[in-house]
Amino acid sequence: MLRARIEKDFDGRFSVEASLDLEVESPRVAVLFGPSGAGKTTVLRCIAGLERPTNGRIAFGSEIWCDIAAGHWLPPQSRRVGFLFQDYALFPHLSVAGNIGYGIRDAPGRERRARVGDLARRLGLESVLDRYPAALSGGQRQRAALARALARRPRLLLLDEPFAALDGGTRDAVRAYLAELLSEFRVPAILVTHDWSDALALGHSMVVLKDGRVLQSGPPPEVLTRPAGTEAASIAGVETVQPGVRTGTAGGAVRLRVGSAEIVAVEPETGDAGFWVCIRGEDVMLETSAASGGSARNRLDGEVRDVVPKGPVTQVRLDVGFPLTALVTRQSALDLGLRPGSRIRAVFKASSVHLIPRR
Amino acid sequence: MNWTALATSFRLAAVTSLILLVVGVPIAYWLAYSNRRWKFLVEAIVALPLVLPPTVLGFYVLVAMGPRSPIGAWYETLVGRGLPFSFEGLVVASTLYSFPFAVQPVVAAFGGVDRRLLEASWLLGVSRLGTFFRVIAPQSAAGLLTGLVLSFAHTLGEFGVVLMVGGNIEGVTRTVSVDIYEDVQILDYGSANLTAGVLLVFSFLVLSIVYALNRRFRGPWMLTGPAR
Repeated sequence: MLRARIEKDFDGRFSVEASLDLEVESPRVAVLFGPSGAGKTTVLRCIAGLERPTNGRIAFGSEIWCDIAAGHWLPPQSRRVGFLFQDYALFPHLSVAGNIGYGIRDAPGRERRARVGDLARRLGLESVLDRYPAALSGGQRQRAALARALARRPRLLLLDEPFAALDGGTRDAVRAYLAELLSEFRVPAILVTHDWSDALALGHSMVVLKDGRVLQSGPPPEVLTRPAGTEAASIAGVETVQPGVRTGTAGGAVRLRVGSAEIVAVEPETGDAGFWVCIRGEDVMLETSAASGGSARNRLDGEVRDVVPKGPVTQVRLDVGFPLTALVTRQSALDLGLRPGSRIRAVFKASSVHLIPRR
Repeated sequence: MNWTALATSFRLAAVTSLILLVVGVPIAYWLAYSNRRWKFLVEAIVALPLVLPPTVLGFYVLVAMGPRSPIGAWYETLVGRGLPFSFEGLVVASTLYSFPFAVQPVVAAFGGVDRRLLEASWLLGVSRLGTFFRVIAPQSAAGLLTGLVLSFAHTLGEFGVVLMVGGNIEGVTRTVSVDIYEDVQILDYGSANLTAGVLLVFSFLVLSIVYALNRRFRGPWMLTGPAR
């Protein structure tokens, strides 16, 4: 368990005041989630020992890493954490082998070479061991940085926006790869991200940060679908997250069973069977059952559970065989005469369904 | 052509630049990485010899070394003779005079090292000193070399400070620049011309080597392939 109470003041312009308890036993991944400028990286850097909080206390299990009031400070060298920088921070004057072996120079030569060789093999870097970072592809750089961090057998891995530089398809693949790697090396991790799909794909728990404050914490599907307050909701931006199972494929689309309903989504690039089915509230249209037609592939009949006005929009929670949330304008809600118990049809496109592989 | 004076000059330049390397690097490190509010004062002091007339610097050094100053008196009881007009005194004066030439390129080089590389090194369990030798120094090789060579060349060419502090003692404190002045004073233009020519060619060669190495020293890692 990592318990951190961090207060950090940046000359009064910005301050972080965060209290978090993160379960960091392998193979758990705790996610620090929030928009850019929320203070996620500051929290991560305080945990790593790169930043000294103005006030606070950080304890990893029974070991105290930092206690400002007691004047206690453990330098980053002694915390034995691995850190993956956003731009990897590989040493440009050292080869890939030199980078991987950098933190284990105290080990006897033979053991060191064996460990570097083993990591290179497991991370697919064998053919580039003699190259310098400048001559590596983006993916190779990331794997070299991971290998360098893992070489020291860290007790905890800190990942700062590891997918920020990757686009959609690569992102999914690297996410799956990272999840595999973390469980293979049995190392717990804290992941900083501003993307809710990262949190869902990798996180066992998540903490939502905004303006340096913790808004909410809990398991990712729960936090994303039941945000505590409108602020957390606007950050997450995905109202429906439900487990779904692949049942078949039809012309570039995949069929999934969600609750007692069946929906259609765009074929994902990974071959998994189980998914988190994610649908944003504004992508769900509501119509009375009489209407029909249109290009949307998913048309589900159901019942209104409750109607909650939220400023200019109204949040409508439905039961269409699974709990589905729609966001409609207040006028539409009035026109449709929505109230708990109303029969309604929810319509959304196959491309509005985001599938995140479930582990 | 006075070979003794040339030898004195080279000896002085070598000793001075080695001392500056040892003393200057820690100061450069502090200047590059400290967050102290009064850092600008140290920066100003380090740069002072750049703008100060050598005679002013020489005058103060001479006074500070004299037997009536605490430093001079202390040195004399310790060693048995005074600092002024000795080779050791010249070394002290030269070290102060060439200070900015040794320190400033090194500060610039240290400051150019990506801070995240230092953080990555610390997180991999390497101490600050270890990080200096394994990350900062290799990446600042060009700056260190520039500092070393510039302080050597600058010491070789100094005149005013040498004359103020060292005087003009053959084989001890008479450097090439003083020797040229002497030659001109006694109207021996041939000898002055020869010595000046040697110094000119040497200085040009040294600077050419520095700039050539600076190109190369951007590192072999830059030449192995384009960054993708």
